Amino acid sequence: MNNKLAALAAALFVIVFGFEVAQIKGQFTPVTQNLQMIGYELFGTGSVVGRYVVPFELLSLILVAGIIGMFYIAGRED
Amino acid sequence: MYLFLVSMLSLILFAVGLYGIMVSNVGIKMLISIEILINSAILELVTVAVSSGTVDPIILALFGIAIGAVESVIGLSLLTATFRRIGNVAIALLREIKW
Amino acid sequence: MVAPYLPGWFIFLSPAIGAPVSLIVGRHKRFWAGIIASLSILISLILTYVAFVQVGTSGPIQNQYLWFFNINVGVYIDNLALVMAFMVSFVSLMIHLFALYYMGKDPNKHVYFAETALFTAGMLGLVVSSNLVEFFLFWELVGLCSYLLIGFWYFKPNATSAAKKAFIVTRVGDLLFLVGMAVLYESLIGYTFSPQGTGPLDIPFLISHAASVASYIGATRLGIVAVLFLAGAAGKSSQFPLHVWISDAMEGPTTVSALIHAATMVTAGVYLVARVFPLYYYSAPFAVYSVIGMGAFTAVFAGIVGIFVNDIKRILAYSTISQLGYMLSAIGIGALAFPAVAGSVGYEGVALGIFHLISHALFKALLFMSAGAILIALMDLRDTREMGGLWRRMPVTVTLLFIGSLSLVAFPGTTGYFSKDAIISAAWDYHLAFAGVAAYLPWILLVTGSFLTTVYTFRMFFRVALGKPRSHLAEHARDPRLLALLPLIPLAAGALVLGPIQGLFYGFLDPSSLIPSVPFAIESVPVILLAAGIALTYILYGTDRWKHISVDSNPLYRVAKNKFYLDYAFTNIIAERVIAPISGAFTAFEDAYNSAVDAFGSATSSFGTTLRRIQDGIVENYFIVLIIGLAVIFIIVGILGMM
Repeated sequence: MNNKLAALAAALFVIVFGFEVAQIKGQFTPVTQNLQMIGYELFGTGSVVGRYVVPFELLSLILVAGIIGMFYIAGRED
Repeated sequence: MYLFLVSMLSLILFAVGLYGIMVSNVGIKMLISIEILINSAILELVTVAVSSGTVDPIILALFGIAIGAVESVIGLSLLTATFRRIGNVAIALLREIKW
Repeated sequence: MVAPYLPGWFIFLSPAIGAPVSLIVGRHKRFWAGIIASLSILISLILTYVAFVQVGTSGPIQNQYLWFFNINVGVYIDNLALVMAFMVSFVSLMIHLFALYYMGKDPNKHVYFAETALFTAGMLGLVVSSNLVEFFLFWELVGLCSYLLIGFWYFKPNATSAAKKAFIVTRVGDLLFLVGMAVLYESLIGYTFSPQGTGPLDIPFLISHAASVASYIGATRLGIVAVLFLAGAAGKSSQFPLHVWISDAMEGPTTVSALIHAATMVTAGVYLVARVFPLYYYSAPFAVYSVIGMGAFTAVFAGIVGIFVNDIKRILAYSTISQLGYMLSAIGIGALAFPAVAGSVGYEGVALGIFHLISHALFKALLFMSAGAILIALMDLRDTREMGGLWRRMPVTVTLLFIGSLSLVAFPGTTGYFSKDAIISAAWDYHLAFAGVAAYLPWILLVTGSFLTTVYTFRMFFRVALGKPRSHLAEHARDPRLLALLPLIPLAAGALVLGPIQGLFYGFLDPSSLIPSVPFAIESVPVILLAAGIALTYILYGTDRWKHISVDSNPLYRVAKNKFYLDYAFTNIIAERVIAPISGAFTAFEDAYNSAVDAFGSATSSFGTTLRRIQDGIVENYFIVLIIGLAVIFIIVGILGMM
């Protein structure tokens, strides 16, 4: 019964949100991405100023905290 | 049209991940389903970035990959601790949040 | 230079401060409680004299402050208040001094003295108050102290139920008084008051502007207000039909009966009628007629019942009721019997009634206190059928009792004669002023009452004093210490010699009043009846003839012995059959309301308990519900967005 209900929930989810997703408009002509732009956006100074360096560092801080927590939890011997 | 297809694909992937979480009794299966969820979201982000030509969604996707990796590591450590305490990792045994 | 009205305030503040002080001091040293209480009343007496001097020189003392809206509170001392204050403080002081002996060995005597001091404070406050609301406040305080003091020996079940009965019956009267005040206040709402700050219930205002008040609200409505005030006075002064509490109130200590139920509290009702008498005078005639009717009827009714009672204190209680009826009827008769003199406003009636009030206070307190001395010697044996021959064994006490009895029956020459026969003569003048058979009625009733007074008083006295002792305790009775009887001497002197100041007294209260004068034949009727009464009772009770008369089978005797079944009517019929079911209905309504509120709360709680079972701990189900709920919300938002 659990499986059927889960399948039903997932199907309902797809139908409802599919309606919304179908409204997204855009072109899919793949344009050549310049990988350099990603680096500029992240860390750039000078002519192109990066905007994402601070969130990057903060996020890494949080992840480090998570990893240290993982060390503690997994390392308990009880 | 291709945007529509790829977006639908990521939505279906998301639903698959949800289904996996809902029916899995084994702990690892649940973790893998969560990975599927995250990856479908990242796929959607990259698609939108390609179709609109900006670069910002890709950076968000970069963050998402990192978060997904660490989150699965934490989940594994929790599963290890649970295994040490109970002996098996059947999710059906965790029934503490009752009335 | 002390503020000129300060003595007026301290007339009642001094015992009010003395009461808690004597309670606190008395807890450690019992002896000082009585001394402190008596001292505070002595201070009141001295201050009353100071106020008397001041009123004599500069007119009535008046000092009031705004309390709330337009109700003031303050003191207003004119001649009438002075006379009452003198009487209250003097008699209360004498009774306190006697109570130092009477309550000498009681373990709770500090509580007793605190309560009587508080009672005196309430009574004096009532006398000098300047607003009807303040008057009512002290009226209730006096009623409270009466309840506390009647039930003073709280381990006696008779005493506690008597105290409850007293309080509840006077409460009925108080309710009617309150309704009367409310009607008066509401009727005077649009009236313009000439000195700024006067309220509609101020006593000086009501006294001086009664005519304009009557023309503003109509004589009939003012008459209704006056009758409601009279009903309040009937409750407090135990007139028919609210007289049932006072004979049971004799369960308290005898000094309490002397203070409260003879001299002071029961006179508060008469004082109320006297104080706002201009209201009665200017209202529709039925107000004054009801005063006269109630007073005269009660005088005779209580006299009839008093003849058949055996307990010495109860005889004196019925005598009090009867004499209070005399006072009330005097106030009414004197107003109408004499032609209206300019500036008099029928104050002749007030002078007559208040003079009898003063003399009654003196001799009734004397009677109660000598009865108290007898009771102490006889170890609280109260039935007069078992006393006898006490004159030889307790000469001083029974002589004092004799003086009091002489004054009570208005023996020629005593104060009682001057005050009571003046009332009877005024009743004859009333008959002369009005035509018709109904005008005879007050005189006939009052003269009958006088005859009945003689009969019951000397029945009691001869059974107590003459003959041979009829019980062991009566044989061995002896006089108490003469020092204890000392406070009774001034009262006895007052009961004997205050007669000649009658003219001065009337003049003090109302300058245009006069002593009623009637033909000699009419004036001698009460005296002839007095002699006949003494002779009759001597024949029956002075010898042993009363033991051989048995009237138990006579139906009229049974009716009178049961106090005309009034107690039975109140308790069994009204209280049990009418009021208890109504009160039960109200309680049922309250209980239903309470349980409805409780049921609401418990229904909510059980609904929550049912809903709680959704959380069964299966985490996957939580997740499924989460996803489904998310989808549903999205649908709803989408539909709303499209509308």
